[in-house]
Amino acid sequence: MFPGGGLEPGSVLAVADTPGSTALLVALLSALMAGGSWAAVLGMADLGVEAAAQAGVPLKRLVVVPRPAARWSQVAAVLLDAVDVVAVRPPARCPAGEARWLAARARGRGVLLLVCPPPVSAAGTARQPVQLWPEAVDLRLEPVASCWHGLGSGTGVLARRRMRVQVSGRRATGRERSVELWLPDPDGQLAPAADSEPAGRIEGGPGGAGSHRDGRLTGSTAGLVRLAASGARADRR
Amino acid sequence: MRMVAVWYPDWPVTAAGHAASDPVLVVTAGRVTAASAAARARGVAVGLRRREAEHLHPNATVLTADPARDARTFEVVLAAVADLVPAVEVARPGLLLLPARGPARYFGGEEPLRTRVLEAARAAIGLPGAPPPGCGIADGRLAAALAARRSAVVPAGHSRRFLAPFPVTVLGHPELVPVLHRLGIRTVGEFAELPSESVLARFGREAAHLHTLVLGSDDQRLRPASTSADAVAAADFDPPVDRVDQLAFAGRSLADELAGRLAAREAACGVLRIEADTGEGRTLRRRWSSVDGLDARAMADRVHWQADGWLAEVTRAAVPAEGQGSAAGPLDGITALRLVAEQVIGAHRQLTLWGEATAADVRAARGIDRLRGMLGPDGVLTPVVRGGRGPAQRSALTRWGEPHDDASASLPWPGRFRSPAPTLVCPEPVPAQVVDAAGQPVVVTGRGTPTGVPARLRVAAGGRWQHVTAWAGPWPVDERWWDTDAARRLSRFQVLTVGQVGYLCAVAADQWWIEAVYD
Repeated sequence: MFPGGGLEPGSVLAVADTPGSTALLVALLSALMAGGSWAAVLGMADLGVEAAAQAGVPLKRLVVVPRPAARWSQVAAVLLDAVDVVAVRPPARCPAGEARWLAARARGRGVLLLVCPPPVSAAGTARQPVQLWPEAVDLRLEPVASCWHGLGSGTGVLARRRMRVQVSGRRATGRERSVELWLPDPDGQLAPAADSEPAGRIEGGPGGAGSHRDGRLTGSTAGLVRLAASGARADRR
Repeated sequence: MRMVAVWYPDWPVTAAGHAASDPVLVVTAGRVTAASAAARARGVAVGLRRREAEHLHPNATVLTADPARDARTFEVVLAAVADLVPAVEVARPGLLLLPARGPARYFGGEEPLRTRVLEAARAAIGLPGAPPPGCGIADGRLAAALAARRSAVVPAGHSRRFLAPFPVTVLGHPELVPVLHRLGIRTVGEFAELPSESVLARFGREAAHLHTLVLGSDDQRLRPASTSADAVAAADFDPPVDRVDQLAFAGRSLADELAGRLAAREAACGVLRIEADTGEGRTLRRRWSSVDGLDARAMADRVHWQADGWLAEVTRAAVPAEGQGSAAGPLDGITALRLVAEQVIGAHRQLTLWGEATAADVRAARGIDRLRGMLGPDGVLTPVVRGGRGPAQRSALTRWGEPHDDASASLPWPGRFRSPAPTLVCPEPVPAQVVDAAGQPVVVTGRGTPTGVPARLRVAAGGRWQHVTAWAGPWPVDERWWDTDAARRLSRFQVLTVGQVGYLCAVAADQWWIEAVYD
């Protein structure tokens, strides 16, 4: 999924606000924290804790600052000093200067900054597309299509969802990549989607997984990268 | 919480069988740890070097401090007070605490309760000339212990004013007190006036905790432990044990076991209940408390002292004293010993002690403390999965560093969804509208069936209508029907809209609410 094989420490990664973005964020946190890293979530009072636990996020190493109020950039700066992964939901109008400052700080500390907007599904309305991060991001993950399975007309439950995630951004080397995933699978976790399984109405996209490169976070993202890569390989076949 | 405290002045002196008028020094490692009133009248103070004290009072009897002796003799007092109010806990030999609320109601008020407890406590020391105990009532353990020295009843909510004139040394924190002194902070009142954020940022969590106590708020760190098996360590003895050292030995391994279990939950024991079953079917019980938490060694010590107290009491009862018949009869021995952590203290601060703390852990802990200083304790939270049926019940955010018990989360909870959990949980349910194909609102009948097929959904706050492609429900929930205030009756639905967004909705009294989103 990630060009270059892993997430570079100190990069800025954005998750788009399309349906499925929160699940993607949680899956990313789970993969990034697998190696003993700490993570913080800033400005998300509505994060589903149980979903995070099911996805494998070690809750003991997750710090939640639900309402930083006016001091969000200061709080984000302290968090960038303290933990290895910081997920922020920036306020509606985030000054470009603050964004640049935080991105530079993340780069300096080697901390991964995840920018996630309030998802459209939470509001239930189609909002004006917002410029959620005034700066260019290194990578941008967008669930472009998703399809829930398991719920019928008056029967069943939402059991699993197939989604296609598109990767773009400055580090995506110009070419857009996408992978197909089950997110969540019936256990609430991330699983690669193989072609043999019912794909719903989603078409497989072009995929690619680069070679692994050594970096501080590469090891901890290996799980997600491997899953994503196997999904991408399945698509190519 | 309103607490009663009974304080025996110079207990180590009384425990050794000396009256207040005898010149007695109790020393540990060359320092005076207790002195009789007669010795203190000559200028001997606790903390003085033994040599200096002997110089002040050359004729004084010098005793070595013996916590086991103090505890053993204190057991007699405990038994007498426990006859009056069973829920007695020992803070240390010489200071006992009990909850005030229930007993006060029983005895008709706090003042009558204080009088009764004091009478029992005074009658319990059989030593003529021993200093009389003091008994006080106040909010919380710290204030109650000080109220006992003044024999006062501090009205609810007045703890802060009561504590203000005391010197900061009463806080009993050996590292903090000299620092405060250097800063010119001499009284508890001056310490209380410092802003709490600065106390946390400058002096750390221990001090911040003391600060909340002197502000008169309840001890937030102390929480009831769950009833789960984690909080208990037990051993059976066959044949029964009747020697103190045997019981103490068993107690040490049980204390290790219990401390390890609590540590796994990032907690330490705040109130320890020691229980022993005797051969003739009685159960002996005692509570020991500590505001700083009891570690494995402290728990083992308490068990040792308690064993000493029980077996000594029993031996004395078995051998009839002059002119008295044996009341309790001989003890067959102890057949089972249990250590129960009744209340626990969060030990996030001791994270580094358990397992391997990485550099990342240390860095994170430091940053979190800084943030707590910026935002206050309610600003920095930690996620917990709790037991419950609804998503808001199961997903919780609690203050960082507070003990949490997630044992109930893994219980079956019939009635909850067998489905991946929703990724967004609305802090407050959002009102919504759901209509069928004809535009009629869908509600749930008294028999638990929907009046129509949901066709469109609108999040009420000015949202647009979204077509429903799939749905399931209702799952009726009828919780806490035994409690009219907390009772809630609702039906849950899962609704999937055309945009592939799943909603977890609740219908209560014909109103739809969105509880969570499967984003």
